[in-house]
Amino acid sequence: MSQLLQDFAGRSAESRGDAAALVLGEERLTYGELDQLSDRLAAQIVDAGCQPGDRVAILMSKRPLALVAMQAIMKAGCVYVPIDAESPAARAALIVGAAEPALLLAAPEAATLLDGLAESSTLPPVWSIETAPVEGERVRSERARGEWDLDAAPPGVRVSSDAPVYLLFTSGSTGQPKGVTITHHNVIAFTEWFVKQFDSRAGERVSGHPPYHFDLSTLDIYTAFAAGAELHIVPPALSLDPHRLAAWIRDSELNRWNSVPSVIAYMTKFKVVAENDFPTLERLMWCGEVLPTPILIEWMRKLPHVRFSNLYGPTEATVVSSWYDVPEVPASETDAVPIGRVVDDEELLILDEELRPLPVGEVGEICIAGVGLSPGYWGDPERTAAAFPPDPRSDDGSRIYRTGDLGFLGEDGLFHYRGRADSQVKSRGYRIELGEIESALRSLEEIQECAVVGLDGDAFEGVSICAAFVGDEEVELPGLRRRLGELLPSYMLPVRWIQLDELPMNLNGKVDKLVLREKFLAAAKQRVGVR
Amino acid sequence: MSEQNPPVDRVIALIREALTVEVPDPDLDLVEADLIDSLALVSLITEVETAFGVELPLEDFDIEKFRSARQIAEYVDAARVSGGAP
Repeated sequence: MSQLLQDFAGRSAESRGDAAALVLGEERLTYGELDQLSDRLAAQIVDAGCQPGDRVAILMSKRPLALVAMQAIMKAGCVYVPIDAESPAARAALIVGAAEPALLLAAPEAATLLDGLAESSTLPPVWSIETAPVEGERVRSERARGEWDLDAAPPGVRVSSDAPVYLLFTSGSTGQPKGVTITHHNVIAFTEWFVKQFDSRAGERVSGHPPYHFDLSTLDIYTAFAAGAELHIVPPALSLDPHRLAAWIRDSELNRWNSVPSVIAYMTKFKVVAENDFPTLERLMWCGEVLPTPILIEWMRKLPHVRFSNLYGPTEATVVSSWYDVPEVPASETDAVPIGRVVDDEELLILDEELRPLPVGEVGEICIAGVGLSPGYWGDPERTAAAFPPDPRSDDGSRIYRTGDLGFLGEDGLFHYRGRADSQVKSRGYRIELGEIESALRSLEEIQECAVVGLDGDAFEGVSICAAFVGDEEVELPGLRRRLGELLPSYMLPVRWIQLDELPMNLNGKVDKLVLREKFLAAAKQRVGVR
Repeated sequence: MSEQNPPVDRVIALIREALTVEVPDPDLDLVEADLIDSLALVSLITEVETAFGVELPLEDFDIEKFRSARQIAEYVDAARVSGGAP
């Protein structure tokens, strides 16, 4: 019988059923409880008529029961689809419309979002993951925990390991989020590599920071379950409070902290890390964007007992495709941290626009081949074909993934990242297509034309999203921002705005984004000058 | 330029200008209402420091006292009294 993703936690339940699997504040769930609860929920999901391959959406903030939901959906042979519970209803509706879930597992606090969703979408049955029901104006849960947490035999459904296990929706340049399909085998291959590479062990305390619609959460969850480790879920309220976040890392006695650069930079800004802080911490890893070297140097000097690892990889190739253990404090603040070496059974290729290989040292597009490759975007063969062309080196049907990232292979045998080839930006770890913001802005009636650019800020800010637009009359900005917030999650909202009589055009008749960037830079300087 | 006792409405105007966010109620919890995130918080701290000529020490910054326009105005006052930079 081939292995499936839910088996990692299942095996840890057999070998260490009484050990803690999930911790959030005072709440603890052992591997045995995780296994039993997910068996029960899985039995109800099958009983309700869900078939193998059906999608089941998850709409809840981070909590131990969210992991019960994921395990249960897999045990029922279904595909889980985490939806950002902070997302506006209009965007969640696009995801529900594309994924067509047969069932929606939600937390009671998702009632408002569900009401909004029900205005434009036909929703499947909703169940509450908690004892309290979901009680909205339009949407009520059919079952709550009292109705699903009942003694039941595990359903015993086994799908193929090449079957989809989850869909993660990322920003799409046309305004429609793209559902990246990931298989059991994709995640199992990654998890086995990780556990071996980083010597994950039973009882180790690791952090769960990113929300579940972000693929880095996959790393936290399954590497912990595979090793029989304790997954300490970072309480959502701490993300804005660097002092309490640092205290939480100390008090949880974390051994491995899986972070993102924006959080590390935020903590640096508030000076929350002392010399030799976090004595139990063994490894700090980050993923999702570039960690500025000055910040890395400061942390490495303060925490000489910690190993620092940079991980690189797009969602389409399953969490991580290359990694780099920083061997010593970088000599210079201007040295960029390499993205390092490729993970087992994957390849990183540096190709030109015609997908021909480039020599060592030359910058080209980073393309990925191997076991991590997603089968493609859910229900979107066109975009799948464009992003996953045939491997130019072979005609056996194997594919590569074009990341859109630029990079090169150094003489040192390490891969190095050099920015983006298109208008995708990263902000606070989120992958954002500027085209998605433009498309949402254009749909507002007061906007005639618009263009959105990313402006590199300081180490902490990362990329600032700046919107220029042409409107009928003078547009009141807070109102405009609020209306855009009904279409986009808050991390996509522009932080700077300019209203223009017309957008600057270049000789090709396209919006001149270089000129726009200059305008935003000039406006920012002027603002500082006034004060 | 600094001024004495920043009134709440000046803080509201500053939030509007710096973050493009309308604050409907001086006691509204801006974090709870999802109107500020970490990025907005840091730029707001900088803007407040510049506008009111105070230094808000980040080493012991307490977000719990910086969640509404009224709280921010009080925080600035307290920072002045405790000897923040002029």
